[in-house]
Order: sequence, then C-alpha cells, then structure tokens
Amino acid sequence: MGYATLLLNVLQAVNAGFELKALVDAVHEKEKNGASPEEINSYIESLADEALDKLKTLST
Amino acid sequence: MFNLMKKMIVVLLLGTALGVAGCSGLLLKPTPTVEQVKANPKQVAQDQINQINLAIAAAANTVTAGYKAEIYTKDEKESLERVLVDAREGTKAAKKLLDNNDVDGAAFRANLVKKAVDELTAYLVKQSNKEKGNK
Repeated sequence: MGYATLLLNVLQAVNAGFELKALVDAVHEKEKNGASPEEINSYIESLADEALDKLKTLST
Repeated sequence: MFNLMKKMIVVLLLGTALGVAGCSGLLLKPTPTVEQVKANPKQVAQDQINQINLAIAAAANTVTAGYKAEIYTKDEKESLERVLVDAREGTKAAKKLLDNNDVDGAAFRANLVKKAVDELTAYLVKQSNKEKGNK
C-alpha cells in the first residue's frame, strides 16, 4: 500500500465525514441568498440524487 | 502494516464522520413542537423530507468512501445501495403525496423512510465500531 493510496483513502473518508455538515452549510447559504423554498427543496433532492449516482457508478 | 494502519485510520474517521452526520441532522431544523405541526403541517412534512434526503446523501457518500477504502465488500455495498435507493424512492413518493395536499399520507410515508434511514445509519455506526474493536 503506497503513501499516495493511503492518503487518498484517508481523504475520501474525511470528505465523507464532513460531507453532511458541508451539505447543510450549503443549504443555509442558499437560504441566506434568498432562494425560494421550492429552490431549496430541489437543491436538496439534487444532492441526494448526485450522491446516489456516485455510489451506483462505483466500479465493482 | 500500511494496510492495517490505513484501515484503522479510515474506520476512526468514518466513526467521526457518522457522528458529524448525526449531529448535522440536528443543525438543519429543531424538532417541531405540536403547535408548529398544527400551524403548518405541510411545511413540517416538507422539512422532514428534506432532512431525510440530506441523510440519504450523507449515507451514500459514507458508503462510497467506505467501499473505496475496502471497508465494505461488493455485496455489502450493493445491499446498502439498495436500501438507499429505496429510501430515495420513498421520499419521492412522500413529496408527490405532499404536492397533492395529502399531508397525512406524506408524513406517514416520510416516517417510514426515516425509520429505514435511521436503521441504516445505526448499521453503519455498528460496523464502524466493530471494525474498531477488531483492531
């Protein structure tokens, strides 16, 4: 196991770990910028769909 | 040796990740009071759907990272993926009910999906703790 792979895996885990906080912050930012409730709902739906697409398209 | 170190670090971080994910759920909206539910049940149901969708996004990202880090096998990844895909279909159905002004139906459906997502999150935490215990 090389250092690069080790670092990559750790970064991926860190990324996943703080993902939801980042998602929530992004939603709050949109709210502050005056996005309508419908826009917020659609944005959150797109976050879920994108994450699922990433999971589905992982090479197995 | 590096493989062991890698797994230990990743498992610890995933545990932290899930803790952050759980806490972040609380950051979005506080639990609504009975008065709030009575005053605007449609908005409360919509907030719940939004929270579940965010939890689905976070769980999907956690499973993606876990699979890449070889914490989950292909079978485990596919099982978790199926639960998350079903949960997302559930929130779509709840949203459709809400759009048709069936607030009670939407809330009921959202609650069912929430239970599934909560169980999945608990499973991910349990797996993470089990991995920690093996080290």
